[in-house]
Amino acid sequence: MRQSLWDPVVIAIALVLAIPVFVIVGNVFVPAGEVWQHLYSTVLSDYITNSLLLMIGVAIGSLLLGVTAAWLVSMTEFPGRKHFEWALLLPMAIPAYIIAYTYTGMLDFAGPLQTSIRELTGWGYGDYWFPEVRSLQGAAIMMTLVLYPYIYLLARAAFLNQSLCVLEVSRSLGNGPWKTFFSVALPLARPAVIAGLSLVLMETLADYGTVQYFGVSTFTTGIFRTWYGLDNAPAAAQLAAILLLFVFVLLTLERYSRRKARYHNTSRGQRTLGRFRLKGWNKLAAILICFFMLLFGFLLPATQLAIWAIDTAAEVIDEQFFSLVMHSLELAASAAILVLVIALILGYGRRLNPTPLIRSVVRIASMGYAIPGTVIAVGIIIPFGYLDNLLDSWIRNHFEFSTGLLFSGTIFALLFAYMVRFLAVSLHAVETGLERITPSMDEAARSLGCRPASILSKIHIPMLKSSLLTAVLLVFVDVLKELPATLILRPFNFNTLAVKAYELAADERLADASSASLAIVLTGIVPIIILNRSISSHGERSLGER
Amino acid sequence: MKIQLEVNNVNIAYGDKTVVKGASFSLEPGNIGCLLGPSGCGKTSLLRAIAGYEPVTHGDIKLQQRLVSKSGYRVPPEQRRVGMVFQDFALFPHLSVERNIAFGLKNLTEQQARTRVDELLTLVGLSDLNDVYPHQLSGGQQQRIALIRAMAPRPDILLMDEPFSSIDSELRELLAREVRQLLKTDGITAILVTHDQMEAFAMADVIGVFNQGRLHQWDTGYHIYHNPADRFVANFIGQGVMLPGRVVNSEGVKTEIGMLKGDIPAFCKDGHHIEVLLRPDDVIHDDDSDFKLEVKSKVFRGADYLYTLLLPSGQEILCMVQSHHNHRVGEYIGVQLELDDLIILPKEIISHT
Repeated sequence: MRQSLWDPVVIAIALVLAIPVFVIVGNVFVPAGEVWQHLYSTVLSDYITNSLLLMIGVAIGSLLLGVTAAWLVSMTEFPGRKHFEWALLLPMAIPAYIIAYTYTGMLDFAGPLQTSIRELTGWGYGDYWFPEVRSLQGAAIMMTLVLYPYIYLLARAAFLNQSLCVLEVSRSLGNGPWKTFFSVALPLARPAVIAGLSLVLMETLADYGTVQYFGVSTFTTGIFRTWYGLDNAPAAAQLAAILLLFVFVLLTLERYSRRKARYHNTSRGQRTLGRFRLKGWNKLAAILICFFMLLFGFLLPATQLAIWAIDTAAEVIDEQFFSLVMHSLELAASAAILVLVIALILGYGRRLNPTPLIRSVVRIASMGYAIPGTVIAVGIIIPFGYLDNLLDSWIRNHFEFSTGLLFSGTIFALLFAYMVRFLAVSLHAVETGLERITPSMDEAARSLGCRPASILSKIHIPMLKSSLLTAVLLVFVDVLKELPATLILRPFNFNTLAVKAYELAADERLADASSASLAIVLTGIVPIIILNRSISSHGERSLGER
Repeated sequence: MKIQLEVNNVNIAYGDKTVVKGASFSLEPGNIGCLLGPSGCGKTSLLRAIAGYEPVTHGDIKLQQRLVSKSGYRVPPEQRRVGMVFQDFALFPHLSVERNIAFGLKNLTEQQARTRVDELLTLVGLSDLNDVYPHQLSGGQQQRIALIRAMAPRPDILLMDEPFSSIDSELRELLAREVRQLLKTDGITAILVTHDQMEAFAMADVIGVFNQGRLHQWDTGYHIYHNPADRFVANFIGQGVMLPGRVVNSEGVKTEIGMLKGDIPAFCKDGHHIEVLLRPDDVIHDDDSDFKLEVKSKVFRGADYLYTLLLPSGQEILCMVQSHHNHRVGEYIGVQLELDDLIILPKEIISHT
């Protein structure tokens, strides 16, 4: 490809990827008629209150867990700390909807806990009070348990990056660990914590499986209901637009705090870690806090899933299951590779010509990570359906046969949705990799007679191998976990592990859902290993360095 | 005489900021040129424009009489036949030394390419390093590999961007001498960019002194030192002080240390107040001299001392003295002047011209 071709290609790709957002925003002005009136007078205030309450609950919970855990493992010393450091990331491997139905299975009336309470006490139904898992509070707790790692991850990195001198000064001035934490470390880490929090809240807003399963009406479930129940596309799009507004606020918050974060972390701390050595009760408390987070966030639900999976293996694991697994893996792999190709084109295009136009266009293209899958799905199905109808009627008029659905309801639409949603993940990996290759590499190759496209294949791709692998793996796992967009856009009778697990759980066949869920959780551990490695090897020699 | 590189009245601008203004010079085949100047003076931009990485906004650049750059037109670097040595060497970390060097070799059989690589490796005394990877090399070795990688395709011109800046200072001079030897043996035309005048003197046949986007002088090292074109060059190159004086009958300059005789430039009329550039090596220490000055301060530099001497008016002059002449501060020492050329600069010109 000639250099002059990169720019138009990059711009075209970015525009296509921005279609769903344009469609949603465009539909704000399409009158939705009585349905909107109906929504407005009945459920809209529920959606707003529930979504807000859920966000507040998850925010408080995950801040508490995430920051505490990050402080403990990065600044103090206690037995098992090294293991907790990575193990505390494990809950990330469990999608919220899976932990939700796993806990439901454990805690509901027929579940092992309540059954044993009844056996021990002889009480019957209605004789005792037991908290209801399937509630707004329950949903907030479930999401907290699996989402706090975002805050943990970023806060830990921030604590580790803090100039230790600053903390040592605080200690030499007579401040103990607590005082130092609240007066120095936490304020310094605030930008990172806020960035983590906004990611947590984006995930909370994007969740469909948990709230649907728990019967909590939020925007995502509302969009589904308006779409399928009331069959009103503009109204669904308008709900999606309100949801987008929430996201936009979060996005601004995140960008703002990230900019600050860079500003705050200018001085590199030297690596002589003067950890606080915890003693006595403090030591015990630290161990217990970390252990319980791990227990409730990962060990318990994973064990329960494993038990169910073993129990039901005989009936569930059959040829159909294997074909389901293959389906999912193929879909995830092709999406990951497709997304990588797009990310390489955009990332390299930006490197070739980092004009303000190209940079903002690439940023628009990577906005999708903040947009809930439900919104993306609605934003895709509306234009695709329109295109299909147009094409179909045109062909019918001219050739007298029907093409049926070419875009919507096909793998194509699904792959497109994944591209929109997960491009940022891949692009981030590609760009961080590219940034580590000094521009003089490109220039050296050019002075030795290489064109831009062959520089990409001869220099960058070989040097980026590990970054590219990371990009593929991360997207692969994300696609495997993705639920709402897949639910809406999948072709008829096309199932993935996530959809199957969700459907079985929705039919109260929790145990049967466990094999598919366990498969998702186990693959979900892969990116955690990658993440952890990239953080531990923080001072790793960068490529192209002398 | 054939000209290898011709730079005609070139401007380079980023946005509305012009970083190079009206630069013109030319280089003959086999000569080594040097763009010398403080950081941010535009010398690297000019080098990158010659290589084809930056566009020019005015003027043109010709390589072997072929137009390669003018406003709105730029032959891409890969079609220019230029070799470039980068400050950070930019060796491809995923390729062995051999494949790095062979990277730019086109239209050669594998055997021919291998022969060329071996020949170059031998030239820099690094044979047998073919299969080693860049990160296993020392800085000096990386530098040499970067150099021969750029030389391998036999470019029309070799461009070097601060090639020695990341080398330990002890090694730098040695390497500079070696590289010059190498380029001269192969008859390669080259341009290097540096802010280090010693490096420039050691490497280059012709030196261009740059400041704030302007080429102040394009001349041999000797002339740049002894006949600086203007006050900037006089100040930037070497050391020295400006001694005020008055032109007397167009035959000399009357200063505090006596009548300085020499050629007086045309712009100086009788009675004009001007300044004379006095280098430390123009002031010779001589114990027998009756002309004695007070030592104000001194700097030990190994082979010599640099004394700052005080004239009765308070004006300071510099004097370079062999280091076994160790005098105390406050002591009066005898000096005499030995001026070959009189460097006269008009007074009160604001130095950024």
